[in-house]
Amino acid sequence: MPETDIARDVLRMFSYGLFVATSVGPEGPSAATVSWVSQASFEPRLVLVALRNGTAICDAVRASRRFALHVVAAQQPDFAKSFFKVNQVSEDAISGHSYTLSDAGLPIFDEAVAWLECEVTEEANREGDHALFIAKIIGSGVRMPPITALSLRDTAWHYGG
Amino acid sequence: MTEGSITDVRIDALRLLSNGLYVLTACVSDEIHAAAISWVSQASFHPPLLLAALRRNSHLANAVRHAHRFAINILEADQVELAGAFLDHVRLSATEGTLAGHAFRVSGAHCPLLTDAQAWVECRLAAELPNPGDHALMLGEVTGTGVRRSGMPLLLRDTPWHYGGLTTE
Repeated sequence: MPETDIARDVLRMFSYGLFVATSVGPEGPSAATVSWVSQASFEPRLVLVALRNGTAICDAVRASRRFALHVVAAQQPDFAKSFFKVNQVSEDAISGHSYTLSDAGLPIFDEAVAWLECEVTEEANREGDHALFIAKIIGSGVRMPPITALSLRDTAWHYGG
Repeated sequence: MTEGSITDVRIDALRLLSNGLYVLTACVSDEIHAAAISWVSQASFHPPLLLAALRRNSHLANAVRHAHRFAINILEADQVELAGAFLDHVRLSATEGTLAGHAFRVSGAHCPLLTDAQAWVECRLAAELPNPGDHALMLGEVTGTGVRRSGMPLLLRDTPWHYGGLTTE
């Protein structure tokens, strides 16, 4: 398809949330902001996440087969922004955000309002610019309902096109 | 927390995924199929790929499998009523004038496009991904797009409906 501005504009009309994905790979804990996320099944409960190939988070998820997805709330755009860049990892924090390891061994940020813990069941498009992980939900939590999730379109950022 | 700790669907994290609401259409020979869908995401920049999750054994999934093509019609924030016309699967002959009361045209690539939608994407079915769940994952390569207006797209959370979480109820 020709890469016209129209195609870019239309692809940016799709609606996305913002999420912080975490995982622990051979290189240690990793976190990244992602938006290409969708539920993929009710029974069993599955989600689908597209992660850019070659990134630390993609490598960690591929190696560990596990990841957490933190919902970014409407009032937390800075939480999302913290993970656009390469992480600064310390003993108990990633890029200055403290976390606790869950029973499944996944970093859950202390400020998270809601999250899912996932185990990869399938990987597709491994050779593409994004790997597609289909994952079973093995845990979840909600700290402070009611929550309004941050929509990508309510931010200054976009990812699509 | 464990899976079992989800006791209230109103605070289910899966309801916080910020889905849109779209109308997927496909044309199998002279029969048009259409239904509202919500589980959609871009999946690649180069080539531009879109993923749409459709109930595995639905008429819609079967129509996409046979047509090898589908269109996603993007609705505007004030088109809740239009979306409502497609909550149930709609099937009709391509010779009929309207789709659930809404004008459409069949594109050169044989995809039905709702005239009132603000934008549309046409896809070639590139693959159906392995999915152990209850939905078929249709990976479409974008072959055409169009914009009629550039309004605010409809979000599922701004409608009376939801699709996500523990159940469809």
